[in-house]
Amino acid sequence: MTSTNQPAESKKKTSRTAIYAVIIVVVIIIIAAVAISMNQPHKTTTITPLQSQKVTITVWGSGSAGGEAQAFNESLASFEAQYPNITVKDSPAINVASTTFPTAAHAHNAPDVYRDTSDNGGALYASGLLLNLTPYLNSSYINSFTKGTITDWKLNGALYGIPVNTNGIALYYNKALVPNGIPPSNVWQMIQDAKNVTAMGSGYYGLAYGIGNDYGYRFAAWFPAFGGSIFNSTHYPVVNSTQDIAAMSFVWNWTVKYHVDTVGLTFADEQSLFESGKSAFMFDGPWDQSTYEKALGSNLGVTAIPFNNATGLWPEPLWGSVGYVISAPIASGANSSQIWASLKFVEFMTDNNSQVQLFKLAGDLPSLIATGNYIEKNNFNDTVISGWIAQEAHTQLFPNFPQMAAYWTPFHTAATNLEQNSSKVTVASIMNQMEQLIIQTLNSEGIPLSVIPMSVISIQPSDYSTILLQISVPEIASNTIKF
Amino acid sequence: MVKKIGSWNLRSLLFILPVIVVLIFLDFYPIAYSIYMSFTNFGEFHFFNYSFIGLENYIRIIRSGFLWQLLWQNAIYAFGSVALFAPLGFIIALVMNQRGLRGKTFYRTAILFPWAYPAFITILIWQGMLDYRFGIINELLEKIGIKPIYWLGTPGTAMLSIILVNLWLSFPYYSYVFTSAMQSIPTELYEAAEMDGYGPLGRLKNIIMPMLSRQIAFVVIFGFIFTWNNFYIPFLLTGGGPGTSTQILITYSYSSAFSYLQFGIGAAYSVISILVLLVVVIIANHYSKMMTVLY
Repeated sequence: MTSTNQPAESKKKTSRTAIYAVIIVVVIIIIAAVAISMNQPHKTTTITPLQSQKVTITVWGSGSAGGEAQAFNESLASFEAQYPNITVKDSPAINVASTTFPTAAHAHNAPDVYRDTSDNGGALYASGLLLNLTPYLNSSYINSFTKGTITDWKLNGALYGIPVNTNGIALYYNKALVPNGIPPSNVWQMIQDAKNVTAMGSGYYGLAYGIGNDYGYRFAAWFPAFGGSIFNSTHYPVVNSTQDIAAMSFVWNWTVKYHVDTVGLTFADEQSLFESGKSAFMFDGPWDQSTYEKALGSNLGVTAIPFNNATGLWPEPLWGSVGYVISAPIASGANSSQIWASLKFVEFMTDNNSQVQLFKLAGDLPSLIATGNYIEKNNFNDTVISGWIAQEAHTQLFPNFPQMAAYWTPFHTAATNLEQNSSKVTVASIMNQMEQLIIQTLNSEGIPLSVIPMSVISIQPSDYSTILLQISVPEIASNTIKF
Repeated sequence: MVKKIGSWNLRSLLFILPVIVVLIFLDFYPIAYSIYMSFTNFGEFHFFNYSFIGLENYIRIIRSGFLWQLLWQNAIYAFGSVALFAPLGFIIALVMNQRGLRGKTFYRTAILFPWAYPAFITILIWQGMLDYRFGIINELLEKIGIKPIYWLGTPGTAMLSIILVNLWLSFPYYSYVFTSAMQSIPTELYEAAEMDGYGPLGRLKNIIMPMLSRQIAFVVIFGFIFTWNNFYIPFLLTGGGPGTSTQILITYSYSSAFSYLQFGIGAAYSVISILVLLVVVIIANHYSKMMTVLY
C-alpha cells in the first residue's frame, strides 16, 4: 500500500513525528553551534627559543604570473639555503585578495605569511587578522622603501605589510599612431592625437576607454587632475564635488564632444582596439605589458598620463602594491619561533636581490629605493621603464581604509547609467547618484562614514599580546632585526 | 526481536543513521550556524570578538533599501526563468513523445547536451556571444537590420540575459521530467481517446494535462526553488551588474561577506533568501499539493 492510500490519521501522525524530529535536530544543532563558537579555544601557542630550533612556516605565495612565480621560487630557494632551520610550506595556488584567507583565519588556521595587495591587506588588518609590524622594524629599514609605497601599507599609523613591488596604471601608446612617435605632453595634445586616429576610419577610436565597464579603478586617476578625490580626509565620500563632476565631464566628453571614444566598450574591446592599431592609447598596468609588447613590438610606449593643461594638475592613478603580511597569532596559531621565521622570510623576499629578480623576470616595479636606483642606472634595455618611473612621480595612494570597498560598485552603477541614459541624466546627477550609493552601501554594511579609530577596529591585543610579549629573544624584542 | 522505543524502530534508525549524519554535517549544521551568525556582529570590525546583537543586521538590511530591490530582482529572475523553461520543457516533451517521430534518440541526446556540458564553460561562451561589440548575437542582429543591444550593459537586458542563459541550462532537465511523466501515461488512454474522436488538442486537454498536473506543479515549484538560489549564473555572467541590477539575495549575501567582510550581514541576507523560499513553498504546496509527487 502506498503512503497516499494510508488512512488520514496515520499520515498525519507520521508527518507530525517528522516535524518534531526536524525541530529537535535543528534546535540541538543551533545550541551546539552557539556553544562551539562561544567556547572555541584559541590555539594555544608555545613560546620556544628561536634560531637554533627547526621551525616550519606556511606561506601563501600566489605568484600569479609566470615570471613572478619563477622569481619567487628562486628567492625561496636562496632563503632556504640561508636559513636551513626554517622550512617553508608554500601554497602558490592561493591568490591575492582570496576569500580563503579570512575563512582560514576564522578557523585559526591562516598561513603565517600571505602575499596580498595593500588595499586588501588593509581590510584584513582592520579585521585584526594581521600583525602590526611596526614594533619589529627599525626606522632605517622602513625608510629604505619609497615613501608612497610603504605609506600604502599603513593604517592608522600601523605598518601591516612589506611591499615587494609597486604598481598602478599609466598610459600605453602606439608610437606608430602619434606624431613622430612622441607621446602627448598634456591632455589637450592627447585628445588631438586621438582625433587624428579616430579620423582614420570606421571602427577607429583614438582614445578607447569603456567607462561603463570600469569599476572606477582606472577612472580614479582623473579626480586629482581636477583637484578632486573619492573620499575626504575624514573618509567621507565627496564624488559629488565640483571637481569630481568636472573630472567625469572631461572623460565623458571623449565620447560625446570629441568622439574619440565610444559607448559599450568592454576592457577586452579596448585591448583589442589597441592591439590591432585602431586606438592610439590604453590606460593599463604593467601586468598586461607583455601582451601589448607581443602585439605592437617596438611601437609600444609607456608614459605618465599627461598633465592637465586646463587645471595645472596631474592625473594621479591609484598606486598600490603587492607585499607580504604576517598573520596575527590569533589567526594563524603561530608561536614566537614562527613569527620570528616569518619576519625573516618577509625581510628576505622583499630585499634588493629579490626585487631585482622580480623586475628582471616579471617586470615588477620595485618598492625599494635602492632597487629603483639600480634599475634606472642599468636600464636593462627596457624602453618602457622610464615611462613607469615618470608615472610613479604622479600617483595617489591607493586608499586602504574600509570605506574604499563601497566605492567600486556605486561607481560602476553611476557610470553605466551615464553611458546608457545620457539623454536623460546629467553628469552632475550621476555623480550625486554615485555619492548617495556609496553612502547607502556604507550604511547597509555597517561601515562608519568617518575615520575608524583603532579602538573600534577589532584588534584585540589581549587576544595575542601574551604571545608577543613573551617573544623575549633580543632579535625581535629590541627592534634589532637587521636589514 | 527488534527493540522499539515508542514508535521508533531501532534497526530502522541504524539504517538511516548515515544519512542523518551526513544531513547534520552538510545541511543542518551550516544552516544553523549561518542563522546564528546572522544574529551576530561577525565582520570586519568584530572578527574574533563578535557577539549576539539580536535583529540588528535584519533591521539594517530592511532600512538600507537594498532588500526590496534584491527581492524584486530575485523574483523577476526566478519567475521569469520558470515562466520560460516550464512551458518550453513541456512543449519539447510533447514533441518528443509523438508516436512515429523519427530520430528520437538523436533528439534526446541533443537536448541533453546543454545540461551535460559544464555550466561554467557554457556561461563564459554566452558571455562572449552577448558581447556588445564583438558578440555573434549582435552581429546576427545587425545583419537583419536590428541595432546592436547592450545585452550585459543595461539593467533590463542584463536580467533578460541571465534568464535566457538559465533557460538554456535548465530546459533539458525539465524536458526529461515531462517526457518520462508522459511516458508513464497508459497508452490505453490515448487509444480510448482516439476512439472517442479526440484530436491532439483534445488528448492534451483531457488526458495529458490532468495526468501531469502534479508533475507540472513539481516542475514549477522546484524550478522556482532551484532558480531562486541559483548563484552561479548572475555571478559569472554579469557579476550582479551593471551596478547591482542583477544581484539577487544570494549573490549579494556573498558580496556582503567577501567584498565588505560583513559576515553577519551576509548571513542575514542568505537567511532572508531561505525564509522567502520557505513561505513560497508552503503556500504553493498548500494549493498544489505538489509534495505528494515525492511520496
